[in-house]
Amino acid sequence: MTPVLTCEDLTVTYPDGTTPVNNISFAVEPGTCFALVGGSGAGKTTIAKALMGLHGHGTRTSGKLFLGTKNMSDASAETWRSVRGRDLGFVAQSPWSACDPLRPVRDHVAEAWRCHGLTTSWQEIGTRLTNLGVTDATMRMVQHPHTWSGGMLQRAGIAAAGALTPPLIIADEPTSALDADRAQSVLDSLRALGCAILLISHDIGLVLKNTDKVGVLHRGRIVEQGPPGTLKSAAFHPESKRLLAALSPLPKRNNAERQTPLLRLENVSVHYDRGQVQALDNADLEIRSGEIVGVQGPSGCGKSTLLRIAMGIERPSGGTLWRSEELDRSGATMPIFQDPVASLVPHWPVWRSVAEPLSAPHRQRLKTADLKAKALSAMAMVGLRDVDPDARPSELSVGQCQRVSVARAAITRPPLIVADEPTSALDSPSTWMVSNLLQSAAEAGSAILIVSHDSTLLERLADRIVYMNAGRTLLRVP
Amino acid sequence: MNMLDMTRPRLDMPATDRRLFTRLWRHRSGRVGLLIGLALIAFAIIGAIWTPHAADVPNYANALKPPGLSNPFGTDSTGRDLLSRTMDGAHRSIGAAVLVLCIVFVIGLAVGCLAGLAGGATDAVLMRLSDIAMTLPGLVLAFAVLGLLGPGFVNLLIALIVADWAWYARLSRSVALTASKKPHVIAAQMAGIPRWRIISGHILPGVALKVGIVASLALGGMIGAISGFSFLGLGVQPPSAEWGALLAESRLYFSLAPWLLLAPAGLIFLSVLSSNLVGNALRDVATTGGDE
Repeated sequence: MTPVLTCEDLTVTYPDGTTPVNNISFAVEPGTCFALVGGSGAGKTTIAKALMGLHGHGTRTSGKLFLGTKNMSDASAETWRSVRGRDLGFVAQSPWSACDPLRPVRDHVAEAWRCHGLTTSWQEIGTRLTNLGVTDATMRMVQHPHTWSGGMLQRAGIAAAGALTPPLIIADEPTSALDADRAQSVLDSLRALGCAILLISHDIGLVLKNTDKVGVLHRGRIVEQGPPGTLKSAAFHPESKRLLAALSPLPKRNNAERQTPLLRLENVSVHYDRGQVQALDNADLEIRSGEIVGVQGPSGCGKSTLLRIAMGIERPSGGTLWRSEELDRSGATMPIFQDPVASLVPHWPVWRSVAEPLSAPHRQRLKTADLKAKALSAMAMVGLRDVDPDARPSELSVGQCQRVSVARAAITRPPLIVADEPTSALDSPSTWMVSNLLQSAAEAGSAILIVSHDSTLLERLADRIVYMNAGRTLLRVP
Repeated sequence: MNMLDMTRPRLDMPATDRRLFTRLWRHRSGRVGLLIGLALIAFAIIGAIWTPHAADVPNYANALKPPGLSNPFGTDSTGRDLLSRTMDGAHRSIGAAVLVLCIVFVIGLAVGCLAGLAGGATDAVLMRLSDIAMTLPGLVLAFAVLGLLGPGFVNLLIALIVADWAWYARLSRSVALTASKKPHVIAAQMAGIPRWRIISGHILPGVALKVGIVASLALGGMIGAISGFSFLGLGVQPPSAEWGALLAESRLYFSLAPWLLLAPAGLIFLSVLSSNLVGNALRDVATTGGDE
């Protein structure tokens, strides 16, 4: 059978002469799922754009590209327009940015027919959404995108991509905005359409579970391709190994000496706007030294408020908050934030950000050279030995910036490190690296309170997970 | 091997140049703007020290001569060499604009950061003051101040400062407020870094850069404003030369000697162009430096 997509020696050249994609060759067989997996900057999105003829002005694509038997190598913009939707569906990364916020969801799906001059009934759209697992689809599809959850809206995106039953759907990180359970069910819906899928993802765990063939992408080249089983057992390229390492479990920590309580919240509540908004409602939490406590829950459930209380930058409106003496000292709680680049001073060399906590006035005064030496050894501990310590944060990758943040948080060995979604901006190898670093910080004696929507991460990392809903805490011990 | 040697990084990473000036120089239109600007500054400095003919001494026999070898820009109605007069006026036009901008930049930065970071009553008082200054359009306020103080070059500069500081204070305040909520500032607070060090190390440099970019874009407008007031006779008083005043004089003889217009208008145009090019380039190179 003819493959639905054949790529031979595909090279993409940007106007400035750089080639983010080099001589890529692969084929997608009908009805199968082929995945391109790689870390940040591997060229994943550039390939997706090249395969849909969506490159910006001045970007050149060379090599052979066939959609089924159609030669698209030098196709005109008009040819591409007629092909998109009919021969090629697309599911975008963020369902919210893929939908027009001013139009109801059903219009977004109907667009797939309308742009090819076809018509369809609202009923048909409702049925398709229901088949993809959207509950109350006919009623909910008149609502606007912001009232839908990410998982549901991504299903609407899938309905639009599969509207004209194209033989191939390209899905660029379709699940990166979703948590692990929802990601799996969205991929199931995608596969249920029956067309071939080119899945582009950084999440090797998800890819290995859901695809028939995997290509590992590194610096714009496919360095290894094969069925997921073979890749898992006999990967040979260092990049594949690096990606696979993200799946290996973290080493077990010894459970002794986690008895000293550091922080205790009992029936803590927090109100805003004179009691109109209840951010925390009788929340309980205890953190003991050296312990890793995970906090999970839907958006707006009070996770961030809980974190701010633990950091001591917000006072509870009611209930009791007890902090150990150790925790009340200056610099005893260090934060790690969601946005790694914004957590570093943009105009400082990174070593200076790392060393800053050591220069606090309550600590022993150190000369600049000593501060720098300590910062360099802290950076080496987080695997940034090869990074120029005088680089500015903008010269580092997002993952490297987060490692710098971890180095800063851990450099003074504080009793408590508070991490707010520390891995949500990172690809899987960086996530794995950061979770390892948090674990070593815990080994070194710091307690860690980590908020994340990544349940896999929390299950691997945390000693206890606290689930939150509507400002209340529900405890679970794994 | 000691700790330092073990952790010394390999410098195989291509380090982009961190000096702002070098990055500005690599920016194509930034370089053009810098070159024009440097040429104008050189023109002003030379003009302040030496001019080919006396700038203020009339020579009626030579009146309204078209451009030629001895008077490249021609002569004015009293026979003074126009090249000498534009050279002599350059330091007043450019120097005054730079001086006014530096002063409003410093006042704005100080007032804005104080208001934004202190909050509470300080913020309220300073911002109401700036509201008062901003209720009147800048030009009207400058006219009012000039009306009080009387025309004159120094008074013009004072008027322009009074008219402009509030705008920079507002801008600095909002940038400082945003910067003070950045994660890196919270991290420093949590580490126990004293407030003055957070302000001087984390907040001020970023605010100064952003407000500085705006100020550099405003340089052209400021030269225009000074020239405009001089054109109306409210700035530089005769016989001192200033580009705007020269333009005002040339207007009277436009039908007889249209070339009188070219030199001052061209120089004002070049300085506005140069400051816009540099300001834009500064914005480009500073914002690609990661500070959004």
